[in-house]
Amino acid sequence: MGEYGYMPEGLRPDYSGAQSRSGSGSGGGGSVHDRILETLRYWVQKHPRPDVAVLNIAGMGRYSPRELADSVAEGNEVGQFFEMLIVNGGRVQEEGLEGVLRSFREESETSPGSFFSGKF
Amino acid sequence: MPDFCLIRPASDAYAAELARWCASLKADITAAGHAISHDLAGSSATRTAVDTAMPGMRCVVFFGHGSYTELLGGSGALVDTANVANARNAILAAIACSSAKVLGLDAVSQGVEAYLGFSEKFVWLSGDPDGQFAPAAKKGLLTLLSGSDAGQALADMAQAFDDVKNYYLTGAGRRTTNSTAGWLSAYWDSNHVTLIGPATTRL
Repeated sequence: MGEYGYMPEGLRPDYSGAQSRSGSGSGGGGSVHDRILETLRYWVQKHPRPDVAVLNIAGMGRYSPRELADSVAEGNEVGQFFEMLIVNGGRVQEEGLEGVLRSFREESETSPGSFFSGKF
Repeated sequence: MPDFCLIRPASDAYAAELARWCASLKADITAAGHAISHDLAGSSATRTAVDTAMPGMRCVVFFGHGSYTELLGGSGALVDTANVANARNAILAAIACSSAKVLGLDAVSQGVEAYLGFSEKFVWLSGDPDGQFAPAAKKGLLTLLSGSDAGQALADMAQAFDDVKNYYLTGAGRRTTNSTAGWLSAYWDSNHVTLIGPATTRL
């Protein structure tokens, strides 16, 4: 660790998951990409406001759940970035990517209540 | 007292959101006994104004769009390799995408004392509905304002984003609307907060 480029140990990103987006995933059918897309489509279906921007990506724009899912489906720059966020997030949980996808599904079942309680 | 220059172009909806976060720092800056010599907000954040304002400042604060090589306003780069030396001897804090990776290194090589920013895209929930991301984004500057060094500012900022991650993953924000996008974003941000320059730098 030199004088420049100081960054604490353990805070470096892991991009490795993004390289395997078309390969077979463990614990479920289809590729990693297909399983992510299936989950995001479920998220959009259940989301209280699927066409309202929920995510700001500085340098890219504001995106609604529907736009994020469509972008992942298209594989464009935004979609690849969001897919990488999801894959990278797998490091947080023991279940890896499965944990992230489960988190989306759980949120999908409960988030409408948040909407009606004035979450937006 | 160290002088601050704030640059917050608000060139579109989400840059405007960042500009508001920056504005909320003004009270903290003055409360800590520092002067805000320039507040280049909205349309007043022009390249010419930035060129004129940066020299002699102890801290230049930017909230808005960034790329690896530029801090951007509505009409192009406000800070890039051609004028970053105007911030020589200053701490430059950029709450923007990606700029630490190239512009940050360039800035320090041209005499900027330290550069606190993000090495990749900066992501947050639109409108920060739970009031989590804005405090995390401001945390590094608040640490500097408290008298701590830049290394501590980096550590505090990364921890603040980690706390946001935990808020949405296991805390009160769990399973609420957009909680998954929230913790994924905060985790990403905590991994990409970067300091270029000596960790011992202070205001």
